[in-house]
Amino acid sequence: MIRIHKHGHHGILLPDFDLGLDISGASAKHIFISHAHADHVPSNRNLSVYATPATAALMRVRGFKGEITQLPFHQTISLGDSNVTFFPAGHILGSAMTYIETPQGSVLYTGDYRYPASPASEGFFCPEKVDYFITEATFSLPLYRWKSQETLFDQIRDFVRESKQFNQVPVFLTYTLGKAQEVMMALEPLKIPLQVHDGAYGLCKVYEEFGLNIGVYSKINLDTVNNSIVIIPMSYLSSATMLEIPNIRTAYCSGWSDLESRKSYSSVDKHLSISDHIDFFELIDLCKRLNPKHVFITHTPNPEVVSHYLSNLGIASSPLDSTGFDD
Amino acid sequence: MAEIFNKNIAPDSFLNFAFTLEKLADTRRIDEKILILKNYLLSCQNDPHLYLILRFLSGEYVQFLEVRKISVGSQLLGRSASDYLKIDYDLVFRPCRKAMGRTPETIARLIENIETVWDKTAYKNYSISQTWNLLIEFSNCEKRQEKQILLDNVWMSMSPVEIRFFLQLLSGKLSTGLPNELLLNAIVDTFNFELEYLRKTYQQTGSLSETFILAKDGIQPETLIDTASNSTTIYSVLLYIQTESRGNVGVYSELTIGIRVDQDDRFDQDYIPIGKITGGISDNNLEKLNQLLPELTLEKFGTTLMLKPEIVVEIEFEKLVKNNRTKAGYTIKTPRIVNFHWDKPPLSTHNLEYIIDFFQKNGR
Repeated sequence: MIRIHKHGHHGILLPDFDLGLDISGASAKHIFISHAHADHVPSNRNLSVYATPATAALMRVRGFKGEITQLPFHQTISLGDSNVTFFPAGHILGSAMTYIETPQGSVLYTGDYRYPASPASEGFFCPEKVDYFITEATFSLPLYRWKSQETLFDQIRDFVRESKQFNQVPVFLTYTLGKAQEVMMALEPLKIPLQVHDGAYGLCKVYEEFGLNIGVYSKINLDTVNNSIVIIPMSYLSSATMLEIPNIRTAYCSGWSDLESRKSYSSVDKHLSISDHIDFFELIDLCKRLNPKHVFITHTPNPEVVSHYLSNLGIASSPLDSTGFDD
Repeated sequence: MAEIFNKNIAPDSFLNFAFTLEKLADTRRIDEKILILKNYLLSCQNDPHLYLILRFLSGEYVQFLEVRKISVGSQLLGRSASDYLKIDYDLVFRPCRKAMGRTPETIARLIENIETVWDKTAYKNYSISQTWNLLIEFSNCEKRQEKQILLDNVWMSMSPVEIRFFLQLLSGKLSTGLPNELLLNAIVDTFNFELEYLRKTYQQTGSLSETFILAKDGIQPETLIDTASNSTTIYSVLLYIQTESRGNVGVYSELTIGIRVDQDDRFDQDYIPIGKITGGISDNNLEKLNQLLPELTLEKFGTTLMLKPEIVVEIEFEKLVKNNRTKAGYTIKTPRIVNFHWDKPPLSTHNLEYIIDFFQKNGR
């Protein structure tokens, strides 16, 4: 069987081909970055890596200084023994699944992915046949079945109406890269000016460069905030700037937000269960469709549950014991 | 699935109540919670229906069950639901429960998500009174197998949102986030009663549904207890204050009051508890109390605060009864607040001997 190792906190190494996927150190000759979220980008900012053009642009905004070889979707690069192709992963802008063809069989590393794809991404494409499937399983319990995109977008817009009804400023608490822009897309038809956190502003520009319509937005401006919708990360909620706004109504957007255990201690007004990740049922379905020789499960608190379901389907699997709880 | 239900929801159905409870659970602000509840209470069409709802909301329904206790453990619930869903209890259900944090929500979510059971369901759309009968059936059965049969029926005949709140009822309490003090406010808002009047009645009856019935019939709280001939007032001191055990809202409404024993060698402390009062604090006093709490608090035990014995409360009560489980050896019966005396020093409170003497002299 092909050798696939976990490397560092979240990276994956294929030592036989000198390939590193989302790894941090310089322990492989060729390093492929699946997407621009902090837990997948090397902490060493001076490495030479491969990434999609959008991921490269987002990484630059976030301060990556090393050399980035741009590899567009569906284009194959040959590296001696192996051929590597990026396919759109539907997670955020530029997110890619890494498909590796080797003499020992084909490998697909999903990175973080979402199916059906996020509207704020390039869509989702998966090859028909894969020998070794390395999948993230952040939401790896049958508790998670996402609602349809229309339902979620309606909920987002309903929340704005609800806030206006109570004369409050709607504040969406989201991660700055990916979900913030998705929420902005949902809000665009309302034609209400959006105000975003400084950290998200530059990232939003990249989204626009790549042709996504995320509405009219600016950085947070207290003079006009009363007629706007605010989109910030959770950590910014208790900042001095936010405390200046007297009447806010908050919605927390996360796949975790639906859990009672998280709800009971939180002080937000609304929980919107919007996730950038594939849900449990789609994950099992995809494995069934691909029917790989082996599934490696990573980035999950509950690999045993996925393994249990896969073994019921006759698919061999094992955890690549890298734990991740990012969303 | 929700679409099927949204069309025709009967006002007196358990489904309608469950949707209201779901909205309450998803709302954080108290004023909005009260508004939601008000709209629901207004839609209740008849009194028996309303009484049942108030008993459910206040948790008083448990007292009306014949056996007094429904013992369906969360383990039994989990195993029964797992069997129904054909999932492995240890490998699948337990991690789910751990992530979700609560059994009723876990089961409701799994039944909603796992498609293999979708065609097994035959919704019966129970009314509130039918749901009450179901609870009685549960309280009457002792054998595990009988409970199992009842549970299987629940999984099949209820929608996920009904299951969630029916299981909460089975566990003995609904999580509305509204303690009884605030439920009173909702009743006042809905039916235009006077708040002080309801508070007094509630203090004396100790029951929210009773209070509502009395208020509806226009019975004055003074007539409930013959205050002129029997009651006594004393000055006591506030020792502990606690939020109501139900709901997670930080409204302090349960007071443990104490009396002075500083001259008594049998006790180490200067003040010992003599009784407990639920509710009946006026808004002004509550506000003042909340301001003082940070500097008065000595220790915190969960939702209970141990206070410096400094606040003097004038209380009224009927009887002093022997009770060996308390430090004082006595408890006061039907205590209620007359007033807070913010300027009185705690040394002006009555001591134990005075109270015992008083009752012996008066032959009570």
